[in-house]
Amino acid sequence: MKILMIIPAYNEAMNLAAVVDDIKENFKEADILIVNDCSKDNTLEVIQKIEGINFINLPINLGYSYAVQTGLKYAVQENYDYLIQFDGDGQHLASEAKKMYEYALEKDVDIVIGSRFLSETDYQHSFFRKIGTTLFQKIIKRLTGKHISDPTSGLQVIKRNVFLPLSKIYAYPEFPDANLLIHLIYQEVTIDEISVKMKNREFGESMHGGIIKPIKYMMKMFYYIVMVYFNNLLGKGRKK
Amino acid sequence: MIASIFFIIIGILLIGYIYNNVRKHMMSQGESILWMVGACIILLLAIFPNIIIFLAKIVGIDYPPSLLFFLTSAFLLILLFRNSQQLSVLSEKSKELIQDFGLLDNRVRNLEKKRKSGESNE
Repeated sequence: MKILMIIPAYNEAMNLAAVVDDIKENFKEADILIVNDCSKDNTLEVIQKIEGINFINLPINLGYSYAVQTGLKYAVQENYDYLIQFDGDGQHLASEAKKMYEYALEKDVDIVIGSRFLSETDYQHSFFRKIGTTLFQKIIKRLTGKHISDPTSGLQVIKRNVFLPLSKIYAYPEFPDANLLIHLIYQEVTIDEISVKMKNREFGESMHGGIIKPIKYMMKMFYYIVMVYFNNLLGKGRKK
Repeated sequence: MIASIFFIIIGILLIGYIYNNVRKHMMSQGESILWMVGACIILLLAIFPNIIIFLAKIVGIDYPPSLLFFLTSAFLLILLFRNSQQLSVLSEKSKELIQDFGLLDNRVRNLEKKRKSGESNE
């Protein structure tokens, strides 16, 4: 089994070395791919110095989801069986990713999500985050009947039969969270969650900081979910 | 009279301007079609302003200028919508290009590394 760790990185020069060390130590089987999304700091130099990894250097900033999709394309091109989405900011732990991968192999699940909210962990989340997460949990439950406790988690193990079609989506979603999960559940992809420990980020700024950004995110996400819902209703969602 | 001459001149200038843009390859021929049609309509209405009154009578609008405003805003909305549409198509295309560039760049780097290590072995 070939496993690929995809680490999208935007201005993560401070965190990346530690993240890669962690993976090399605790999850030796996985190959590492860092997608440098045209960082403004010296992320590229840091990556070039790290031995034994592969990296993709995007010439123009594409944003988180498209950087991830670039990783999916790479995984398809290099014939990987499983890929793991892993954040470059030091939040995720390689040992937890390994646990998720083993779970996916054992139970033969297409997607395993590392959840922060399945059981009580010491992960601190902001007020808005909490409201958003509960809301999207309820929406997913309503639309698909499936309980997903952490739809915004960036730590996911994905099997080839799922990421192969995803890599080819022309209009890949801007935020691949609840909307993408609902879309995949409609296509009868099996999704499971296991509880995962996460650290709070060490350096740098979060993607969803501030007040306006989360509100914008929520409104956009509602819209995308409605779109996914109607796509499925009209039968287009079933086409693979 | 002066007003209609003024608008005729504007119409002619607009047609000339669009034509010149296409000629200098600053606008594609396909893109210019709608604008050219719009400019021709402006010229036509400047020469025969009665067309609008005639049309308003047919549709049953009491105040002919309101028909003119409606047609103008409808035309502008169509153009604007087309712009948005093409903008999203373009950004998706450029996304694909940038991603593929990244993948190719990665392959070239790996191949170069392989070649260099091959040379040093010989």
